[in-house]
Amino acid sequence: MQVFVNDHLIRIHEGAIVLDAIRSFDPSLSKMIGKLSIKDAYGNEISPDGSLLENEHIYIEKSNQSSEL
Amino acid sequence: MKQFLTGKMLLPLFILLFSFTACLSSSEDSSDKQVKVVILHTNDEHAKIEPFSKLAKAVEKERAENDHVILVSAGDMFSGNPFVDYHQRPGSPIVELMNDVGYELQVLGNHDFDYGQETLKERMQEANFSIILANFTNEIGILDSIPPYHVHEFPEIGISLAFVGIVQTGRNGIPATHPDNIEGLTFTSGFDVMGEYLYLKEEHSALVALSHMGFGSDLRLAEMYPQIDVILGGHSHTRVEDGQIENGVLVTQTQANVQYLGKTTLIFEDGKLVDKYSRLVKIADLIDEDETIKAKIEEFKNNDVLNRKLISVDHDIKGKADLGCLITDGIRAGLDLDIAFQNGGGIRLQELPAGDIKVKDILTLDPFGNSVVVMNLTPAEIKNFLESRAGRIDLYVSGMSYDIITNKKGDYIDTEIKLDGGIAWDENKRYKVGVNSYVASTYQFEREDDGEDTFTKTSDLIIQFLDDQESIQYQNCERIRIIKR
Repeated sequence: MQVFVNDHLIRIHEGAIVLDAIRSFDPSLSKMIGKLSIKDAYGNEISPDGSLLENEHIYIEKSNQSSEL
Repeated sequence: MKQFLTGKMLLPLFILLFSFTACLSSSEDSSDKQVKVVILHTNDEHAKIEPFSKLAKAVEKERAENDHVILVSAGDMFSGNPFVDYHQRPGSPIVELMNDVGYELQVLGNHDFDYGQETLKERMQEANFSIILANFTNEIGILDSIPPYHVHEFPEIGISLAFVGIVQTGRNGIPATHPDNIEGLTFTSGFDVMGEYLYLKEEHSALVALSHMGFGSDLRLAEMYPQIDVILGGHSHTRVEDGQIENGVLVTQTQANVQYLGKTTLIFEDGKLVDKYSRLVKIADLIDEDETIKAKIEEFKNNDVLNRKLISVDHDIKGKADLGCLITDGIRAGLDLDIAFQNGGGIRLQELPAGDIKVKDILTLDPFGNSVVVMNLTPAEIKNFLESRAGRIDLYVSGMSYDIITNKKGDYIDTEIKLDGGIAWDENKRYKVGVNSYVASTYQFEREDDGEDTFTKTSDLIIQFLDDQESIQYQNCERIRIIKR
């Protein structure tokens, strides 16, 4: 399926969770997942273990620096 | 000069005063006619028992402050805590705590099927709360009939709430759990089925969708059916701070893992819903704890279940090669795969020493909670996969072996793959290959099939594998060789 992380298209396995999409977007983020602010397209916070829908957009930024990735 | 109020001047003042009093009186009457119902809710508890001592106090406080309260869950009470998942009676600690706190209702989420139908049926019999699900039929399944909806009456105020339960289905038409867990059950679209229950709106004071479909789907549901008053959601683990009004429908969700308690308030006047709003209570911020429940949680965590012996070995299983063989054999056997791979970075012990191997050893060996993703790959794609590691021994394997070919200087030249038993590869066949979800999402290589999550944890499969074996031998397991030419 495909999802979007910070508006970048990611192809990922069916049934992937938010964490999978983030580490597919940038594997180096796996180790700092707790320091990320992760939001859906409506600005709601979502958990790394949350499910994803086809074509869903998620947005991540470093929560302590508030700088975009 | 003094001015006196004449009769002519007093008249408008009297009218003004009368109007104000009448207005005030009308407002009081209106307020008197209004009644407040509070729906307390959580979703995706995922067996997190630790917050329940604070949750109990928060619920108790709301019940003390409000006359008309109901506590519900939007699904996925199971899966996510070894003390619950590996309990002698899987899931029973969370059901017992939900009983204690006074849940009245839950919709089945996809992970509520994770322990299989036999176990789910047992836990449902132990639950003091109703469990609903509308978008499935139970043709030859083990589960007893599950009602599609639940009505909660507040007879003292003449209010009744109808809750309809729906769960997500994936591209394969089933909820996100292993297909074996839902054998004999047929699922239909929650979007379609919800439409069949809109009539409940006419019969009751409010219609609530208890939806385990995810926040994005809940917004779509609201667009389709403005007749729904409230959607209490789950599945996407979304924190909707104050609820979101979509097409007149209040949509909310409390993230996951009992981090928040949702408090959705409905105001009725003359039996009609006139206002609705929602907010979240952060459980970690609360101080008061229910001491009885706290003691019970400690008891659950002192359970010896993690010390359960799986098997005894008469030799050390040392190093990533031997441990990798064990892990991949477990993954391959549990899911009946052709081939299974495990990345070296995911093997977190140096050895399993001779003696008893216990549940906790496997959870330390493989601690990440990754699930298995199955891809259907051709031999050429399997070779691509291995070549993407550029000659490093990083992927341990079961069902096949491979040689990394280098030149005399050690520079990588090629990878040669061999199926077990000397069987020739069928270049046109797609082999069922299992990898963990970390590898599936981070190892980039050319392939047609993106793969599909089995929603089965690698650690569960290794534990099951060891449970099933009478003896094991993992010494000098040589499935990967480096050959200099």
